[in-house]
Amino acid sequence: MNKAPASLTVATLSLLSSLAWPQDFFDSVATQTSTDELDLDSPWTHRTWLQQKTGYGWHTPGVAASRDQAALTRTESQLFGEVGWRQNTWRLQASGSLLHDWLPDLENWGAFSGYDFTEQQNQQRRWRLQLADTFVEWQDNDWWVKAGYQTLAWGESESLKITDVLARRDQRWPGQADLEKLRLPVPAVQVTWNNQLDWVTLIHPLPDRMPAAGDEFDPYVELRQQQSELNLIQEHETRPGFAIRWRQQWQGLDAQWMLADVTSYESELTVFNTGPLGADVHLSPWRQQVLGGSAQWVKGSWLLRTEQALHNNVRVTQQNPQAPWQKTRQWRGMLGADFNGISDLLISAEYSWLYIKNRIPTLGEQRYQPAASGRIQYTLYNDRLTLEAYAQSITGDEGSLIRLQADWTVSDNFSVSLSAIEYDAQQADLLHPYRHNDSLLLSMRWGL
Amino acid sequence: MMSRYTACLLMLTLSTGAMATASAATMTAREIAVKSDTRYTGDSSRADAQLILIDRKGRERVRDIRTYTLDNAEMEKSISFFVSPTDVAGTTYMNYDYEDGRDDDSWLYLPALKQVRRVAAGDKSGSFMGSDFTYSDINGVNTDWYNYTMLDANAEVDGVPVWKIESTPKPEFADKVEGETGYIKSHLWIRKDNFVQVQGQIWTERKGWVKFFSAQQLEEIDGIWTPLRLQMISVRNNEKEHASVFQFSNYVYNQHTDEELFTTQSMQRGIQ
Repeated sequence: MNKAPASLTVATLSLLSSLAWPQDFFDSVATQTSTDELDLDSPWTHRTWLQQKTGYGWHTPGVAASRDQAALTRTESQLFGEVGWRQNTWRLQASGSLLHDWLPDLENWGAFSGYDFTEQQNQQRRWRLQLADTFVEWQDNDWWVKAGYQTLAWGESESLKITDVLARRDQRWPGQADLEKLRLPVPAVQVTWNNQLDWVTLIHPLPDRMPAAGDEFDPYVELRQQQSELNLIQEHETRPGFAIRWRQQWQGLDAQWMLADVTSYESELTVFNTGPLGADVHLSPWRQQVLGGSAQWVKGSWLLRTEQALHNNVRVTQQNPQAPWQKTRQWRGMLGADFNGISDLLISAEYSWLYIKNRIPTLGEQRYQPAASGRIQYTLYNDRLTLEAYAQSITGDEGSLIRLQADWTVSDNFSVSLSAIEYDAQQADLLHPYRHNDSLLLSMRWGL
Repeated sequence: MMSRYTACLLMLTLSTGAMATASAATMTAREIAVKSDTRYTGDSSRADAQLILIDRKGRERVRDIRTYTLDNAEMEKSISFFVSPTDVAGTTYMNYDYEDGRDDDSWLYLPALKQVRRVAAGDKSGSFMGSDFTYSDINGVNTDWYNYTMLDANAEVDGVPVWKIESTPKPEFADKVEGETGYIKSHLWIRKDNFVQVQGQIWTERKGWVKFFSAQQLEEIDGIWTPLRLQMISVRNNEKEHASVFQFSNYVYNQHTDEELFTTQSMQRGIQ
């Protein structure tokens, strides 16, 4: 080891001691962090963060939305809090967010003049409290019961919903959601036995969260163009949903089998009444049954994944958008692979498909609808910087999106994320009306 | 990326207190390395840790972690609960390390996704949680892949007698070692009284990069010598680039033997 020569002056020693790095690489590194004994035995846990997200659309939307030029799309603040408590076999957790999109306010204050907001947009962007996972749970020996508002993630496929049918989604900004908002919680009771058998009862779940009238991804934007007034009447299915799953683990392999009888989170158009003052459109969820399985197999640096499921009673639109939707039986599948054999690089790809077994000629969708997605993620500077490129071809070749993202962890309590999302679609594609809703997102998050 | 750091703590740091023997003076470099690598590490353990990441400007990031391990004849299980900071709080990593050399089983629970996902063991030369420790540091090495040469049988570290041993891959395993560890040569300083490796100098495949490992603050806990501080410094062209420090506390051995703790259900429930 290198030892400091005795002839070093006091001044030199003082200078050296002020540096974080020792001269001898085996010496203790000086740290500012207190290394007193940790106390992780408290029954209480908490997490809090504040996020500011700003979106900018750099194209003019393809069809008439509120935004009619390149402009800001949102400037949303979110304060998230989570508190947990544990004691013996019991645990409680409460979490939620306070959100507000400042864009309508900025417009009112004269600081933003991009476009006018519809009443529904104003309503969705106002101050609101959003409940996140909030539940009570109990575990004893082989039994685990979790009741409350909870996020149920039963699948991994990114390009198609196959076995992941228990979670509600936010469809307002496709491809732009934060990781924790890919799925939304629902009221449910989950009973697990022996870490293998799950039984879930869904209690009156709400439909997917949809865009407001005038939003960029409003699914009824073309209907609104045709009708002077469009009244959307959402009907609800009150029967509880049920799902059961068996999980098995072997060395290198996980497998799951599931059966579900649940209400869909999507809605079909059931009644379309037109009159001189406009149209009333009734939207109803449907009851569907899903029988499926999935597996994940690891070999070296490879992770191979598959999901397969039969969906019964799924409603599909007809070529005439005002005609009643048709019941279909579908086989949905996915084959995917992750590779992490190169330092700090993760490459993922998946191919999925939807096959309609009882397709009729007037149906608005093809019998075989492929989809695909790919992701490359690279971390550097000791995980401070994460670069990610993601591309997805939407089911049925209905368009595609590319997302480029950079996440920079400035410190333990502050991170910055910049994303660019580009959509692409041909004339006949489902995504075509929304192809110009490309967006640049800047997000800053402070841990509190 | 998360990894099997609990095993690292044991592989790198633990030793029975009564290993110093009269025959130590006659041991070969290989015997010493193997003895150091196969020390008794307890049948189970629990520890709390702070992982401090320090960049070249002295800026620090800190992760608070609670970890459990459980050994049986077939495998070593470990589970790690990340408590802070906010961006990793609630994350859990679980690993099964099989004694017969089969690939490890690993799972990761991300609270943002509310989902346990299986992960591939992956490139063992990759960084563990952004630290200067790699997966190979964490999981230890296969001593059969290396040649060991005694460089100095009478060296000292902090006044304590140690062996200084050079480890180089056997020619037939050179590519495998480089692929799995990213290392091309190491110097090990192993204490004679308890076979704890207290220092290491590691030459990497990245030209000009050398890493310096040290294990400090040794305490005998439940009869097991346990360094409470592990440090790895990455040096490029003799300039320090980054450092990582594991600081441990609340070590408990052979008390947490419940298999239920090492399940995907336990990962979802969070810190125990």
